[in-house]
Amino acid sequence: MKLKVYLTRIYRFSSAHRLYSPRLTEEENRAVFGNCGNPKGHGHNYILEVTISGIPDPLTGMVIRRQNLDRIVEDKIIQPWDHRHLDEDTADFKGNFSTGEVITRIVWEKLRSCLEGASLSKIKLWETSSSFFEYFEKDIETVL
Amino acid sequence: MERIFISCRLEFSASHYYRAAGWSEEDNFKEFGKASRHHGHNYMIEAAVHGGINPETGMIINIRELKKMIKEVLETVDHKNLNEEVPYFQSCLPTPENLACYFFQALSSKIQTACTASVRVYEEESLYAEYRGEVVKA
Repeated sequence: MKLKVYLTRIYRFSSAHRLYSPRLTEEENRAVFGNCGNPKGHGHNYILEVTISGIPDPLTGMVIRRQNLDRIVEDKIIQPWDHRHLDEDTADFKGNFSTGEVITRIVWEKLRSCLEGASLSKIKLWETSSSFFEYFEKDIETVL
Repeated sequence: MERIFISCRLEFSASHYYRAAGWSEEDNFKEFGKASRHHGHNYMIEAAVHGGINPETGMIINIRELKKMIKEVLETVDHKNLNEEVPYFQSCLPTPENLACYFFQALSSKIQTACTASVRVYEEESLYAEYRGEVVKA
């Protein structure tokens, strides 16, 4: 009998961004994005929760080795994004909105393929203390 | 049944180390880093219980009863050396993953009138494991 466990590790990064659509007029941009469209940009302390699922390894008792997970998240997310402008300084958001939704999806895409056999279960991103975004491994209907 | 849960958070403090049986100190340090040394944490456990609302009380389970049962489970680990003083960890390492499984099983055997839905164990603010009663058939 093997027990499936969920392991969550929490990371932080601070980045600038700006929400803007070149397909909308300036007035429409202001109406949709409000002060998040400020041309000079603004920023957040993002909190990123990465949840991995699996059966704990009989030797280590762990779903994934902490130092491996930390290194992957550091390489893929923190190092390229922390204390940078997401839209101007990174390749990840070229042609993409840097909304909480899209950031969450991009984190999911970047991490899921490189977890050394462990299974990504959920990404949760806090943009501010009052708003967060979640991306699940399954269709939301099967989770709720 | 309605998807409704009652949850309770409690803290405990314990020590542990990660070492594989028969390995040298050096090999253990290579595998587990500083966690191979004897050290401790202030843990937090968050248990969620699922069940029907009793029409006589308006409750799934009396929270005072729930807290009492969780405290009884925590007595087996609080201010202990998890590796050496808790029998469950004779056969596996006291990681948050295995602690969550242990607490889930111990709590489930105490709660008669409702179901244990999940147990979450925080080892520190930025690291926690959760067990939801899921079993994978080999």
